[in-house]
Amino acid sequence: MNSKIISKIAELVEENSENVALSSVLNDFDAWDSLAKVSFLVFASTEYGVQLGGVDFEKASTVSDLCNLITEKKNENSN
Amino acid sequence: MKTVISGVTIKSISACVPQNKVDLASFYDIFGEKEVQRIVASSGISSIRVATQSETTSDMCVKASEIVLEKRDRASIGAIVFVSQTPDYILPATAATLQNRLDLPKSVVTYDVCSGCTGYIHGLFLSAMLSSSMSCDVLLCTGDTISKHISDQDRSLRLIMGDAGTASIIGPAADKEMFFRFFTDGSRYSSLIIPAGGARDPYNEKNASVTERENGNSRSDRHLFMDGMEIMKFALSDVARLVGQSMKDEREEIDIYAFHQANKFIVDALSKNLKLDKEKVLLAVDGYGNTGPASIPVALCHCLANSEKNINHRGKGLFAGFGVGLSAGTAVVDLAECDICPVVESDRH
Repeated sequence: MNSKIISKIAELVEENSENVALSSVLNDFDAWDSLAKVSFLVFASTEYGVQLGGVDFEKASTVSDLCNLITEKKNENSN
Repeated sequence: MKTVISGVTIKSISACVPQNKVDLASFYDIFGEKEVQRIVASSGISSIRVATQSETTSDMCVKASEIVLEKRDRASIGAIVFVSQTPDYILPATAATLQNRLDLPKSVVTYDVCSGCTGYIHGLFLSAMLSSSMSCDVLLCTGDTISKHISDQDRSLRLIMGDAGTASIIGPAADKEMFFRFFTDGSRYSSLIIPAGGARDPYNEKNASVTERENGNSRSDRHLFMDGMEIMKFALSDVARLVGQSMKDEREEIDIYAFHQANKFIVDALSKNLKLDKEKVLLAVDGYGNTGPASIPVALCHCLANSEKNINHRGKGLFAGFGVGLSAGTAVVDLAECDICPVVESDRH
């Protein structure tokens, strides 16, 4: 799952996947703007059936935070 | 809650867009070529229609109405419903002026309804109720010239929104019925708003000043503001849920999905989310932009008039409007005998 999320973020911020790691800070990418964020919401919803966009999403600072957030929401859904 | 209105249907639909076509490449100087192309790739909108300064929503609605009224006895019209956020005057209601401009009977009852992207569904519901209770045809006009309220320095809206006006005839039909569902959450009213100019914040010097706001966009409080993230969340949660419920209202299979044409990104996301057959989902954003309360009829006219689908594949349609309010509404309608006319351009103003 994480590699899929990494490659989606790489696509959205217009970087090669090698340049995006779990530890990457989202705001370090110039193209991580409102359009990229909204695109990521759509990706999370259609790919994993989870609704992001709350305070947790705004607080996520690294790629790893987003991966954890999706895992958390997926677990909530299945409980 | 599902509401059924029996004995009415949409008899015909037409749409009119401004003659003035604006290629979004013309915004390279303001927003930068790369940024414009990035937005175009996601929105699916490479050009929009923009009304001239003297052209109003009602002007386009009049042109569209003349088309649907052409083959009809004007005396059959018992009501006019005009749905728009850009009326001609603060008062009187634009619907009243349409009685005269379209030479309709003085016995008509008229309503202006202030609604945006849910507007076609709000208007259709009111028109169907009027038609059912009055046993008459109803002229439903929907549209906006929202471009007049958008800051030239706000790329999130300037590159997306277009102008249009449409006309539909809703009338009695013994064996038909329409299903409606609605959703309204007024707590999120500020996600899509023109804050100034109404009674809450009348025009003054302060709300005229253009300042830099979120994401480098500049606007004043007299301009339209949209929180794109909130709207996308709304579309993927509440709207998707409402459409999902409406799909179960109709026992027969849905042949056509006509969603509010916010942009390609949102229409695709909704379709994916609901796992719809892409062939059945209408898309008509390129060349028009997001035309608010006109977008569902524009999509129907663009995609179905003069096409094979117009004759062979047209049956049940599921419409979904969503946006300002925040509000959403769906309608399941039998389109098999609906006369859907091609989109026309406005006269030069």
